[in-house]
Amino acid sequence: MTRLRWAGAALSAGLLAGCAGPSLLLLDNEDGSSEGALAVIDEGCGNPDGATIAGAFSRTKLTGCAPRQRNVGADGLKPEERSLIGSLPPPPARFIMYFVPNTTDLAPGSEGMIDALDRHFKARAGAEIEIIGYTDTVGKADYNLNLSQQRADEIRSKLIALDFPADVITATGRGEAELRFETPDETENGGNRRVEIIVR
Amino acid sequence: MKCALLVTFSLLALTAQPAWADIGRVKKSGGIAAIERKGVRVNPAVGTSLLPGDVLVTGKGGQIAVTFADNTRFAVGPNSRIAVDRFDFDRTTRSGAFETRVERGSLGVVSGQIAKSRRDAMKVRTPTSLLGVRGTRFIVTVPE
Repeated sequence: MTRLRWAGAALSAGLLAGCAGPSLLLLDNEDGSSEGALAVIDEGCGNPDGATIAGAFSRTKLTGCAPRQRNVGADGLKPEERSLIGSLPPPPARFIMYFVPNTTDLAPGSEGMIDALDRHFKARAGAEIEIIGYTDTVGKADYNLNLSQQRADEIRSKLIALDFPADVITATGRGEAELRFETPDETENGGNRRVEIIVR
Repeated sequence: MKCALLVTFSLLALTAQPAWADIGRVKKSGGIAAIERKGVRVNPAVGTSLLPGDVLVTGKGGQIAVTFADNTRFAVGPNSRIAVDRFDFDRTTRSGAFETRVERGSLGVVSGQIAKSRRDAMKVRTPTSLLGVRGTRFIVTVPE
């Protein structure tokens, strides 16, 4: 009897949660593609890969181990959901500057984007700048990691000299990681000798 | 006087913050909104740095928008309580771990580099479930 009552209580709790419990609204990606996905990965469900939720504009109640997805379409958003998406910060903007081989000297024409960077920085509330240095594949990896950091630091100093506030600018070197143009080792490539400047 | 002391203290706290601990910044806030940090309420003024463990709290009509160091973006809706339990991000490898808890209210998310770095590197917890984020834009709602 006690057990039955327990089961009843659990059932009604489950039903209640089903009505007004936590839910997920999966949207499209910002580029309009629908490749995004989430997974319900509760340890108690005995499903190590999780139950995948994919497909843009779907609503899922987050209860139980087998979430059921319901498509709502792009017009199916509630006003408060639209307003929440509208209040997201703007996507980060990215600028690139290129370098003369094996130096921290900018390649000709690389400073042309500073005006655009300045505009983006001023247009954003609470803006920050992240500078990430890279190299091509000429030279040893650890040498290049160091060179990429020097490139990032050099641009940071340049921006500070142009009155960008020092406390919101970070500089990181990533060496030969994430080549912009995939090349074999020991290959000179102007497109890979760069810093990427992210304004967010 | 008390007020002046408080202001001095919070200024000191701001300047004493090491750069590496800065995991994100407030980009927008309005209405009833606060950051709870180790039991202390911090005003979420635009530009305020977030730290791991911070809880974003809003009341009626409140909102807070944040961009994190890995380019993840949050929009916290009204009547919400969102805990940033964990945020580790290695700027060099662009990988890390990010765990957020939606205790109540609504959270809009555009995931960033941590979610891309490894399967389920970014997780969002609700009172009834644990979500692994695999690169996407979504809203989690937890009614009171």
